[in-house]
Amino acid sequence: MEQPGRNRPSIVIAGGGTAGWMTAAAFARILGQHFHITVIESSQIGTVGVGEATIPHIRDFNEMLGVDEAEFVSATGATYKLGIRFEGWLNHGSVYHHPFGSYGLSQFPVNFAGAFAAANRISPLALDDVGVATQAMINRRFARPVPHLHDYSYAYHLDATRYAAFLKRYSLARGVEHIDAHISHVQIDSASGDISKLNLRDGGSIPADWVIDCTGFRALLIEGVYRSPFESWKHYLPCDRAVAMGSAPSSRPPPYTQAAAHKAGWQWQIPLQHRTGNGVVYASEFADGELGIELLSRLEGINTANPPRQLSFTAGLRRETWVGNCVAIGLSSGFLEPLESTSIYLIQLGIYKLLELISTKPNPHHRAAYNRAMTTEYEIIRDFLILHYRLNQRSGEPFWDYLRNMPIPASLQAKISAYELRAELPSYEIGLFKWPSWLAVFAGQGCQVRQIDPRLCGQTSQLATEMERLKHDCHQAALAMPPHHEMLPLPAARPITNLANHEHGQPRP
Amino acid sequence: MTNKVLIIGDQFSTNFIATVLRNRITGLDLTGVICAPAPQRIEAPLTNIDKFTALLGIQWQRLVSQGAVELCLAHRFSSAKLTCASATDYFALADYGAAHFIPFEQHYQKVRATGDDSPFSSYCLAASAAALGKFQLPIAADRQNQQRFDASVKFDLDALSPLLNGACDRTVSLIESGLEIGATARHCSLQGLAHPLEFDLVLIAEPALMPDANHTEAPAWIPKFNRDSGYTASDSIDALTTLTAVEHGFVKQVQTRKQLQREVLTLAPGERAQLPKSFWQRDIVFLGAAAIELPHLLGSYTDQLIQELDALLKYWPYTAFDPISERYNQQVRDWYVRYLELQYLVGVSLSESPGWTRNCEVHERLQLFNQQGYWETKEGDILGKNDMIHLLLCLGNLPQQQHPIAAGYPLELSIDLCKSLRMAISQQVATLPPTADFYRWVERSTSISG
Repeated sequence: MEQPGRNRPSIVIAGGGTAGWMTAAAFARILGQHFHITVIESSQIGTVGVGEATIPHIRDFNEMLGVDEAEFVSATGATYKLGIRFEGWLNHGSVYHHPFGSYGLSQFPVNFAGAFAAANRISPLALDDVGVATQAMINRRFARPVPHLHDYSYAYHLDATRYAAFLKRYSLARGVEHIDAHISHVQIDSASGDISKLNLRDGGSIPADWVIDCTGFRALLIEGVYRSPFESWKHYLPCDRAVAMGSAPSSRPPPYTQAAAHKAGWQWQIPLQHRTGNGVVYASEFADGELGIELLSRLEGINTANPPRQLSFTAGLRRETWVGNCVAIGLSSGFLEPLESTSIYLIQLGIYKLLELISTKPNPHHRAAYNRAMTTEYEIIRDFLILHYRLNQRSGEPFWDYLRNMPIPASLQAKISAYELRAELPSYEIGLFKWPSWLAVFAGQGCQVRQIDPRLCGQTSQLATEMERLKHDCHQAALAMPPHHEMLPLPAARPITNLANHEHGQPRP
Repeated sequence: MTNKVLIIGDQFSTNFIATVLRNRITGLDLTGVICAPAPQRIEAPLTNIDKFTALLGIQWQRLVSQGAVELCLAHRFSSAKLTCASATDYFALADYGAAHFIPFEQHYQKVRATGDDSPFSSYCLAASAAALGKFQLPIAADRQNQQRFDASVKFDLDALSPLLNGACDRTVSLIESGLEIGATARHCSLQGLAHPLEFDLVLIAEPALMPDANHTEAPAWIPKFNRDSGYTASDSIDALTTLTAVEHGFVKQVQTRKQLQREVLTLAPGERAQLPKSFWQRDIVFLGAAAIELPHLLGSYTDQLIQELDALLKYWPYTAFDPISERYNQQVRDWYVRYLELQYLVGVSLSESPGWTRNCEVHERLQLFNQQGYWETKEGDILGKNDMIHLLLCLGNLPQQQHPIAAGYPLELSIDLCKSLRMAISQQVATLPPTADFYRWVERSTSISG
């Protein structure tokens, strides 16, 4: 099955799944006129299907593809998401929210975090009270934000397998070639070191100018061919196992992902239209697999007839996710636990960056720039994830005691010190999670601010009054929104799914 | 809280610093020591007019009507390295091109490859207007179907300084005793005051007072220039600054309606610039030229002051020895690195001089851009990505390769797009009033409103 010569340079995507089909769809949309795009995917190999919970950037991605939101929501069983609810992360019984939005609308003489810290000394107030999105989450309300009026955004909970299938249809309709086959080995061009052909188990071969490794944890090419080293961050993020199971859908699904801490990790709950995704993430050094099964079996509506799906992973990344003409996108490039729903974002980022830097033939300077950009993003997300664990006050539990006392990256220590000193929040322009996200976690995890900005010293009671007004306004704005479930397609319009037989049998983290 | 502040500098720096502090922090007691009159100098900071006036707390209309500041729309670059027909191009902090699924600069790149030598500024309304002596007030970015039209200011220190008088609670011209740089400066006897005053914080903008021990040698890629300036009566009204590459450096010109300043900046290869080890040391903060004496190929001394004051306002201390000073030092140091990188990019793009050290990170970023037009942004860059691409193209950096999407796009459509945009901008510029009319309008409207 030697492919005939083509006029256009070729991009071969190894692996389907969320990463493979997102890449194929984006490339078909943007590069389809100029490159021949092929996806080699074996129907014999299952997919991990990362991320059922997303962050708002996915909307930009869908918009770039020209996807209709209603069609997408219906096809993927999606519900809307305004943020994440953290239970028990500070201590047993604690709750806080990380919304996709900002806090307050008023002008203060200093940054909002400083004003909030100052007001809190007079009249204790929860940060959740002064955000429109958090109030909507608490009250299970949802409305699309009105531009220039609302300062929040939204994402989706979706069925990743259905999303991949949706994008596969999209890609095939736009000329992407799909080959159902196993890759047996590759041919390397001796002069450039690039992969020149992918040989298939059935004897065919596919020529490639570019190869995108979307083979998930197997990292067939970036690891198997190029031996790009994987840098483990397990010492910072020790969770390395997950157990996942589906349960019956909720009639009133919340517009948020739930992340509840347990003694050796945390537990997710993701509401979809046709089921609820549940999973337990834990550190194998501190607990065994029984813990996950036990925690899941306590959930209401859980279908114990199906065996739970077990996943094993290590947090970390490859500092070179682009080697030669091979670019790893998705789980083959690195892994960060799904605590902040960043898996699909990282796929998207790899795609965007590659679209910017791609040329007819790989260029070593572009490669270096790509690898630097991806590393920066991974490190920022890593720091943000560690922050959730680092600031816990769950004393007496070995897992949490370790996390509270472990050495952390200097980059994170600097951020914590700056916040503790005077509520200064990270203000970088490159990278995910802007100041409201950091404030949500700093405040939610009980991080104390030592100094109030001296310029606020005479104004604390005025600030406290202002915060009370904000609290009232945010609450009213949230209550003006319709209940979240009313914004979803009517149950009759939802695809009927037999929980015991849904796609690939298992939910995904 | 730090309330009692001593400011030491020339008349302009002292008044400028005092005005910003007075405007942004209530309850301060400000004492100014004026070491020298306002120097003869015309400044053209890069800082946007809104930020500039917000810091001072004075509306630009008032500043303009009193002849204290003028508006600046663009920066003219001239160099034999520029391959456009006129060897001159204009950069404005403004939008360029037209909305299209392929970034406009890639169409420009394609069209240039056909031999069309129109400068990049012909695709930017603000730059084209400034080049032809036309003027328009700034337009916000979110207006549809209209390129953003931004402005900064230019001013003669002599003219602006008197408007800033009065921000200090007291001013003197001499410190008699007590100021000991390198130790603490909390008690000072000042000329004409009967009793020594005690201060919480001392702000120094006078370069002579920076102790040698606080200096360190700058990295080799940071150029050092010798500066020589001269003044003549102004011969026209414009909204520009001009930078011309000459054999061993640059000639920079800025003019107000009254006078024209011509600076000759000669590259001093082998000589190293000095950087301060710390900007905030114990109870003393070194600002502006006291911190670093810089070449300003784009921007000015006032940009330094503004950036430092921004950081000082953000990190205003309880006491002078507040640990927050470390955060200040880091932020200001980071800003200077990025600002110096910007100067480097301007300099090395326009000048062939072998005096430039090319083995540095910012040069690698420039090389990357020159390959396929990818600008790798870094945290804290002075200009955003689009403005940076705009600047690099105006400086004559034309990427060698085209992005595959642009390469596959029909050339004739790119040519049509560029041609029609040039025509539309040219027609729109023709309808704008001359810059001189703008000043007449401000004067008239101010006199009508009383």
